[in-house]
Amino acid sequence: MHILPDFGKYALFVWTCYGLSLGTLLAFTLATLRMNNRRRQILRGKGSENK
Amino acid sequence: MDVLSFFANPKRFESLARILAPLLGVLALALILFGLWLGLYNSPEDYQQGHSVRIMYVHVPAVTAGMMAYAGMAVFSLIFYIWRHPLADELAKACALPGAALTGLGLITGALWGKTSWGTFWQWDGRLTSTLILFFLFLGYLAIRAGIEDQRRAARIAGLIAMVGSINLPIIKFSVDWWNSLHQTASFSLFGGNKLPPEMSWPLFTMMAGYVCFLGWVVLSRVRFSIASAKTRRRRPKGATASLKTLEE
Repeated sequence: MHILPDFGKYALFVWTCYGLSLGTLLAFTLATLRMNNRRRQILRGKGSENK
Repeated sequence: MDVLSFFANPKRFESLARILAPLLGVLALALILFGLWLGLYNSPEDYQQGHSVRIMYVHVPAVTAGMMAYAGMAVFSLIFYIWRHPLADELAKACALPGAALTGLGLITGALWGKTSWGTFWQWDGRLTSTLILFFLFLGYLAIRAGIEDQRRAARIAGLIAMVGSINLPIIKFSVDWWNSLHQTASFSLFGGNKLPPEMSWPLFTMMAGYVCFLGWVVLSRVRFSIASAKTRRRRPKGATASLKTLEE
């Protein structure tokens, strides 16, 4: 099994679709993880205010 | 109705989302990685379409998740209209951006798949046009949310667009049966069986489940962030979103 399979004449189309899809999912993943970090910071800040 | 009211409380929602969101995130990662492995390495090429059939494993899940995001947006908008639960509006708002991105992704991957199968990137037929309309409905919803300063008014107008636009969902679904189309008819349905062989069904269903879990993770995370932001803004009411400000009172 090759690391990247050979899709012949359709390789460009297939890899473009997978690249775009994974790129979009990755962008949303990074944005969501950043959002989760900011939320934790907000809540931690709130916690320290209450103290 | 009782269930709706029960989870309309942001604290109860947070206690559920705290467990559900990471679970969906981990599930999405596992399913998408497994689906990619199945789709790229462990599925056969189609006897007619060759290797281009592998585009199906990213195209169909993207459009399906996009349609589910729109359905969620419409249902949550309806709940907001009827019961005035501000959390429902936040959920509807959270569905819009990932839904637009997934629908856009579905349109682009569909165009590329179309070029390999039909010889053209685009055709003004029922399925493609109704999916493009869905994408524009998402954009319209997002534009209204961003463009109207009064958030309560924006929620009402955008919610109306979400609800009226939901009529497009059955049109997308049945367009290939109602009109002559380059697009193939449904390969599987809940009640009509499955025309795909198992070695193609498995990667497709795994990726679909992965994309839906991913959508759920993103939506829940966005709502959790909105709730946390509203809590802090309540101390400084200048920038508070109107809906969550009400929710926190």
